[in-house]
This record gives sequence, structure tokens and C-alpha cells, in this order.
Amino acid sequence: MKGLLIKDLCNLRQIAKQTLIVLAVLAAWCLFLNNSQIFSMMMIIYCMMLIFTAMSYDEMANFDKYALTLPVTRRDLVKTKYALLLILFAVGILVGLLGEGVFYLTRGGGGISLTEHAISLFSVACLYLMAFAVLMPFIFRLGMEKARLLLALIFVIAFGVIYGGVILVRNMGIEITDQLVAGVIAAGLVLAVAGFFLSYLISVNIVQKKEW
Amino acid sequence: MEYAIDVQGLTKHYPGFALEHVSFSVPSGSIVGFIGENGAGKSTTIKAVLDLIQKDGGEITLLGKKDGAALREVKEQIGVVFDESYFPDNLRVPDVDTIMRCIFRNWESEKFLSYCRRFELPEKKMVKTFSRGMKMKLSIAVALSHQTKLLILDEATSGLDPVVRNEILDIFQEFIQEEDHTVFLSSHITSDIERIADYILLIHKGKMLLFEDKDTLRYEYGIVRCTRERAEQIEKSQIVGLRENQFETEILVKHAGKLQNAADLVVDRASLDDILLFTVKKDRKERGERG
Repeated sequence: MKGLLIKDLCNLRQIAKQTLIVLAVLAAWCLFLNNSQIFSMMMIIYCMMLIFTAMSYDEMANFDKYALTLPVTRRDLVKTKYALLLILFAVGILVGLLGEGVFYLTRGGGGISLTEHAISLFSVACLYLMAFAVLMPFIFRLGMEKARLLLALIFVIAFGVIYGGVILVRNMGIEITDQLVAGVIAAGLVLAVAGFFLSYLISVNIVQKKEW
Repeated sequence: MEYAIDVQGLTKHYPGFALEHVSFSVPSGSIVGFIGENGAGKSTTIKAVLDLIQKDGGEITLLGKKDGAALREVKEQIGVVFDESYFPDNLRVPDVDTIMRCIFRNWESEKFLSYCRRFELPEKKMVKTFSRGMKMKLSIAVALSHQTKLLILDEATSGLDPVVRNEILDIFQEFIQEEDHTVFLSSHITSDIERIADYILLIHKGKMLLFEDKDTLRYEYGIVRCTRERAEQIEKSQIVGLRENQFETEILVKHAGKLQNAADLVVDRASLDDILLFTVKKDRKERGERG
């Protein structure tokens, strides 16, 4: 798996410059808007979307077919991509937190504490993780190009469900308290982790049956 | 005799094409040339051997292990080269070295880099700038650099110019000098196979038509040229296939030596192309196809 991960990182090395430019433009834009949350949220999604780049390179080169002739199992192929996604996710959160921290120290939090910033960042991150957990088996099943089109749809559905949930809670007269928000975030975190693991198992199952 | 690859009753069905009970054994220490037309089933057979497709039936043993292509310890000893290089475009030679060092337990970095130098592969350039020949050489360098015992090559020399092909065939011959090294080479370039193979395996429309050692083919098979009337007197059991035109009849015969002394027959040595063409034609005739 280590070899496959190094191969993905070598591939992603090619867009390092482009990533730094995106980072700078995004930071400048957020400073202009005086909103650090946009920066962190965009950074996480940008980093996670790099998995598309890595998988596209493999798909273009038909690398998986070749990889399976090496001492690599089908499970390794899937495991590597999920590990890479988690690495990208962690990097996204780290850069996002760093950005928020710098913003907070230089411009103040605008009445919102750093903890609240972090909580909102983690809840959005969980949502992203769930969206990618849904998407990954589609990528393994349909290929990168077709599956990419589904990402927007998955986000629309996810935000629709959350928005619908909030409206429903309000209409039912349930007061949105700190405890309720904390509970929802905790449930979201559990769901994201469980969904991610389930997604991995589904992807392994897809790749085990795949023919090259 | 030990076999590096043993395939028994391999069956795989696709809409419009099927591998039908393909059986053959590749002796260790030999080069087996796998020939057939485009679409005959060569790549499908190789994919089944490498566990890239799921077979519908049959048994495959690799380096003595049943379904060996699913086992890491077996794959450690197998080098595979396809008709294209499957390395992502952004890699460089040192990247490939690093990646393979992490994948193969027995990766031989020095050997790999020396092959790269011998093949004049630029270290600092990305794979995307390589020519087709260079990409194939990179794949071959990887395939040979992990204490490989079995080389499986699927149309690895197709699309390369004769100079590069010749160079690559020389390397396969060097590789086979070790007595436990084996090469299984599929190609539709029969001259390549004729040059290096010890055994010839012929497949047509998913069925194995012939598996013989090259010396038998060379000395036992012959092309007889004669009139149609004279052709009818040749023993049917000797005839592998025939081709007629208005002037003469050409017959591919087995045990050509028996006919060598007949005054009214011209017996020439059969090339691998002749054997391929006549055998395939006979099979088509038996299937009731045209052509």
C-alpha cells in the first residue's frame, strides 16, 4: 500500500504549484470578505477533491490493471484510495484550522469564539466526509468521469436533507439548543465514520468483482 | 517436468466470444510463443492467467500454486508487460524505482537503474515525454528487476520498430539463460516468436488449435505444392490444411519427411505464418465460415 500511496503523491506533486495559487487566491478573497469560514470550508473540499485528480491519473494510465500484476491485492487498491482521501481530508482540516487561527488572531473572531469556529468547521468536514463516502463506490463502479457528475447531486441532496431537518425541527416547535446542536454534530461524526467504513466495504466488494 | 504455467479447461464466456476449455502447460525454463489473430483470445487467456478477469471454469496453476496470480508470494516472482505502458504520465524513473521498492520485497534497485541506463531512459524526464519504445523498455526494466522467474508478455513487442523489437528479444533471451526462468510471450508478429520461442501455442476463436515445440514444427511440417489430382493421393491424416488456386494446390502437411522423396511433389519448409494461416483456415472451414 505504501508504494501505491507514494505513486499517488508523486502524481499530486504535479499540481502543487496550482494548489498554492488556489490557497493564496482563496485567502485573499476571504480577507476581502472578512470571512475565515469560507476559507476553511473551501480548503477542505479542495483538498478532498484532489482524490479525483489522483484517481483520474490512474484511470488515464489504466494503472489498476497493471498494479494487480504486482504484489498488490484488489483490497490494497481500494485501501490506498481511502487512506489518501483521509490524508487529504486531514490536510484540508489542518490548513483550514491554521487559516482560521491566523484570521482570528489578526482580525478577531467577529463575536464568534475560536471553539465555535472549530465546531462549525468539523461539522462541515463531517458532511464532506459523508458525501465522499457516498461517492467513492460510484467512482470505483462507474469510473471517474461519470462519478464526478454525481458529486454535485450528492451535495444538493445532503444540504437538502440538513436544511429540511432544520425546518422540520423548527416547525415542530423544538428549540434549537446548544445541547441539540452538540448532539447532532456528535451523531453526524458517528454517521460520517460509520458511513466511511461502510463505503470502504462496498468499494472493496465492487473492485473484487471488477474485470480488467 | 515442472510447469511455470498450467492451464486446464479454462473457460470464459462473453457475449459474442468465448474461451472454450483452453488447456496448455508452459514448461519451466522455456520460451512459449502464444500466437493467434487479433481477437483470437490471447489477451483474454493472459488476463485469466493473471486473475484480471474471473474465469467461468477451469484451473490455473502459476509457479506450482493454484490460482497463483491471487497470491503475493507468487506475484513477487512474476514480471508482466502489456502492449502499453501503464505508468502514470507524471512519474520519472527514480519515482518508479521508489514505488517498486515499496511494492516488491525483492526489488533490485541497482539492476533496474542499470537497465534504465542500458535502455537510455532519461532519469529526469517524465513518462509522458517518453516514446512508445521507451515506455515499453521501462515496463520491461521493472518486469526484470525483482528476482523474476516468470515473464508474461502480452503483445509487448507490437507497435515497436524492428530495432527496438530486436533489442527487447535479445533481453528475453538473456533472461532465459537461467534454467528456472520462463517466458510466456503473446504476439501476432510471428517472426518474433519464430526467432525466440521453444514452443508455439496457437489459439483461434477462443479454442486452442496447436501446441508444439518449435523444432517439431520446423522439421515435421512442410508445404507441399502439387496438382489437385496429386494432392488427393496424399494421406488425409498428414494434411493439416490446404489452399487451392487455378494453377496448383498448396498443402500444409505433418511428417513432411515422408513426402520428401516423391518426384512429383515440391516440399518446402513451413514458416510459422504458413502454419498459422493453414491451421486457422482449416478451423474456419470446419466451423463452416467463409474466408
